[in-house]
Formats: sequence, structure tokens, C-alpha cells
Amino acid sequence: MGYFVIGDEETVVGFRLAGIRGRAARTPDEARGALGVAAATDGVRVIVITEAVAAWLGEEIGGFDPLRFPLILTVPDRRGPAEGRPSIRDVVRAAVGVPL
Amino acid sequence: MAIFVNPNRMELLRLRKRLELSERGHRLLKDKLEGLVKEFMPLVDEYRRRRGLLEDLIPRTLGLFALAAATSSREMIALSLEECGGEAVVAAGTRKVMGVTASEFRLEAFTLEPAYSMIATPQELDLAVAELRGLLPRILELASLEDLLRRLAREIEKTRRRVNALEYVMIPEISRAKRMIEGKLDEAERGSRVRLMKVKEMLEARGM
Repeated sequence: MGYFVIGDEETVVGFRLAGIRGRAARTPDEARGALGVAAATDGVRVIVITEAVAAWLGEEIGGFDPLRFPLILTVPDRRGPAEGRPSIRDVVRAAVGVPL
Repeated sequence: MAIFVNPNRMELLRLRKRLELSERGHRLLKDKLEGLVKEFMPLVDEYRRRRGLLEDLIPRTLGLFALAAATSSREMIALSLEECGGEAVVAAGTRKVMGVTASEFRLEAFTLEPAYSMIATPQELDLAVAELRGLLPRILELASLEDLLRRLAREIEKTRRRVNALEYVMIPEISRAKRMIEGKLDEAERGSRVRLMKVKEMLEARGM
């Protein structure tokens, strides 16, 4: 058990068929609950969250220390990458000082 | 933020040492910043490439699942779900880049038991499962890379703030305080010299 998926039902079912456990979230509360379950599950190293669900969780995702907590990776769902999502571009801009 | 000091030689010596230390620290931190940015930029390119690839592949693979769900009954998918089991063994480690420690995960083993009926389920389902399995190591690599990038970015930001604080606040303030003490000490020296000359003149006038 290395992965845990949080997302819409389609994504979770897809990953489940590939042998990856997960929990579907339809509301921000469900998303928070799923994140809590993922955090409490032993052996989870990476939590894959769809962009739509990650947008509900917002700051809660950023608050975790990856050295003690599983890494969180946001991925697009079936509809593709979301518009206006926070990306690594912001991280680069903060680090380098100029947008690249 | 001005530095308030007593204008004496002890303070001057202390400030000279502090200035020397600050300038050395500034030089070192600037070198570190350059090194960090040098390591950071190729990693950003690599991240973009991998992320772009995954962003293409995940929706496509999930689309295949949707197709499979559309071409078979909901019950069949639910049944397949119940019969599906898998175990991913992920090895966790850390790696250091320019003194920055980041998590690194590697997929060591992955066992999947697709126990569902291959005949009763559509071909798209098998294809999607196989494709998604292929994506799992890439997801792990991308997560590790993203973690490293975020940590490096944080370190770069921190180092740049330190460099700027030294360059624009500490070093100018210490230099100003040093100049102020040197000025005061020079003035005191000139004052005592004038006083001595006056005393000498007065003594000469008295014929002593």
C-alpha cells in the first residue's frame, strides 16, 4: 500500500481497478475526511488528489511536512488540467524572482 | 535600522570584525544562491516535461475507464472492483541536493490481481488497467521531483532574503557605524592635538 487516491468517483474507480485504494469525495467535507483517512492509513507514501478536490482542500495540503507525511500530488481528472490552478510556476516565481 | 554604539576603539575593533564576517557570509551565501539556482533550473525543465506527459496520459487513461464503464454494465464494474486487489511496495528514502533534503520514493514491487472475468468485461478496461499501472512509477517520480523542487525553492527564497539582508541592511549599517566611530575618534584626536598645541603655546608665552 503505497498510494491513496482522493478524487471524483470515476478517478477513484479507475485507480481502484488498477489496484490502488482511494476514496471518492463529492464535497469539501468529504475531501477533508478522505485526507484524514489517507493520512491515518499505514504505508501510504503518496496521496494522489485530483485538481478539483485539491482546490477544496487548499491550504490543508500545503500544511503537511512531506518528510513525516506522504507526498501529495495533484493530477488532472478525466476532463484534463483545470484552468487557473496553482502550479509549480508560482513556486519558481517565488524562488527565482521572475516568471519563467 | 541604525546601529547605536559607543564611539570607542573597542567598539571599532568589534565592528571591523563584524563587517569582515558579514562580508564573508555574504560572499558565501551568494555562491550558495548561485549554486541552488543552477541546480534548480534543469529540475524545473525536467518537472515540466514529466508533468506535461502525465497530464496527457492520466485523462486519456481515465477516459478509457469511462469508455469501459459505458460499454458494460455498472454491476459488472462494481463486481470487477470487488475482485480487484493490489499491493504496491514503495521504498522511501531521502536525497540531498545542495544541502537540501527531500523525500524520494521508488516503486519496488507491485502485485495486481485482476481477478475479474476477462471475457465479461470490455477490452478497454484491461487496456486502462494496464496503462494506469504503467503510470504508477511516473506518479511516484513526479511526486518526489515536486517535493524536491518545492524544498529547493524554499531554500532559494530563504538564501536570497539572507543575501539581501546582508547586502542592503547589515553591511551598510555596520559600515555607517564604523565610519561614525572613526569620525568621532579622529575628531577626539584632533581635539587633543589642538589642546596640546594650545598648552605648548601657553607654556612658551609664559617662558617656561
